[in-house]
Amino acid sequence: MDSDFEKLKAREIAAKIHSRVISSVEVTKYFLDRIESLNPEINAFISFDHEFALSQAKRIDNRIGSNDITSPLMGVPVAIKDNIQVSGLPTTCASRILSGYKAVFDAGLVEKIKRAGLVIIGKTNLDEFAMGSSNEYSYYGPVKNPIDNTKVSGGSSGGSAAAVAGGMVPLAIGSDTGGSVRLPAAFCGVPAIRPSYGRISRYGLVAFASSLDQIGPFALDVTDLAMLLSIVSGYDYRDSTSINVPIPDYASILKSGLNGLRVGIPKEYFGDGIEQTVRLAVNDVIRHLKNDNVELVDISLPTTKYSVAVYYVIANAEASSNLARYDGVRYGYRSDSIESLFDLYCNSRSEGFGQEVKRRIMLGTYVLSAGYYDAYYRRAMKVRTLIRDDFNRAFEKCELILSPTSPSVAFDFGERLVDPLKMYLSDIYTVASPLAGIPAMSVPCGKDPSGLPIGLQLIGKRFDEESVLQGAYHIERMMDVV
Amino acid sequence: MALTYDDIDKIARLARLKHTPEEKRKLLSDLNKILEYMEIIDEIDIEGIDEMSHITHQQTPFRDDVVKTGLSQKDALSNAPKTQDGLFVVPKIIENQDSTE
Repeated sequence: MDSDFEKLKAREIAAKIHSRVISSVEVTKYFLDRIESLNPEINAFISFDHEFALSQAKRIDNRIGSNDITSPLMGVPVAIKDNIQVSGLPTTCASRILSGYKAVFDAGLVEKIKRAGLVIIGKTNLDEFAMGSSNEYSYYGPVKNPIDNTKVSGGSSGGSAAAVAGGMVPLAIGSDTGGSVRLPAAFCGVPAIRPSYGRISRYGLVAFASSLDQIGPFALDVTDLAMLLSIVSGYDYRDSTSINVPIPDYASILKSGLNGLRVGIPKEYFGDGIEQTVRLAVNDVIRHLKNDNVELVDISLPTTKYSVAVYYVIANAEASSNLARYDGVRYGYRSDSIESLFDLYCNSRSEGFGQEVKRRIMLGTYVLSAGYYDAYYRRAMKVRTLIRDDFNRAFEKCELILSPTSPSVAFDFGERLVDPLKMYLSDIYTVASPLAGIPAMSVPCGKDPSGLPIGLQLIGKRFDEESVLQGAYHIERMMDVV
Repeated sequence: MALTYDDIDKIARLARLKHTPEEKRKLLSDLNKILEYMEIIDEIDIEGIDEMSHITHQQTPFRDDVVKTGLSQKDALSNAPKTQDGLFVVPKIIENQDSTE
């Protein structure tokens, strides 16, 4: 076994396993060793379990031995964000309030991953309850960017992004409420997709903002990503928002690239506040697309400037309601100092939740409270309709919308911690598409002079993940040539 | 309209949270700053616009009325901080009117 598996794509590793050049057990051991040596510095994993991973790999090797190959990625390790239930493993949500919690069932997508024969190798770090943009709000400490460990990984799925970018695992699963898959993907230089609302079952994903939450995969390239998306997608009767529509074989349609697709450039996503290096890199891609004879269309999304405000009203309102379940009774942390039931709730929650989660619960409670509901929540719900309508109008002129994923590259630790509003504004380009329920992904499109990755975002029509992935594949190929 | 310390106390009670004086000071300034930013949505004309309360607008999906195994009592209680005889234990909920039981 002389391969450096971290340099191989997941499908290449799988091909070696399927042709018995190596075993899934050997590959799993290899990546467990990588995690052992790199995690103390990067902190991408909250937990990983040798025995748990290797016993799966052993079973998978047996199945492969009897030619029972159930997916093209069978035998490859995958990491799961620690707000998704994997039976028998802890689910912490990076919060003290869930310390000691052990999952008693598998999430819907985890069942699919197991059926496809992937090896669950560990649970990745995140901002507490997926609330954050830098992965600095974790009870288990921040995740460092594997490209430059003085920078943040981005959040909230920072652990999943850093684990893939750092070669600790070839595939990972994250979740995206307002950008939590795309932002860390951009900061760490890997592709990741947040599919349409309803595409992947959220049964077993710990709820943050239910009208926005969606699960999304990370990989080393667009082809691996497409393969993983096909595996985890699909209807689940236990998530009544999941939609029963056919699941395309995404990897098979990539090669048509942007052929016949019109790409919209929204002027509002290229305004003030965008770092010069990011602007240059994205404009470079646009120039190359023009040379490739891709049809580019100028479009306008006038409600863009309201999207961060609308998002944080709605997401926090829903969070304050969803997080009411942490009451110190049925699971999770319970305070020692309790005399009444009120104390039990109040002290357990105040000692169990971190500052950012408490801030958001307070904000969400306020915007839903009597006398303020109309001014904030109801109004935001109406502006949300206008944001969706903006996208619908834009998609009459194009099939894809192209923008930067983030106005900046990965920033320094602490830079935005003092000012929560500044942290929220990191999500300026990523919050609008979840409000509309449409798919969006980040694909690497270059580096700044210090070598920090820059991410480009593609947004598509509802349930048109194909065009999004084709566009990303086109750009990925283009970047290889440039 | 800026929040006051009284507002913070009221919201905290609704949310079953409490804060140290230091936390309260920071919270008041953070929340006011965020709410001030959120006022940007006041400038939009929303007359006649429907609220977008669902993305899918689908009807509630039905499934066949077939019995399926759910979470067992043992599993449901396995993560509880305190249980007894198959039940969750909480402090006394009904306060006594007087000292006699």
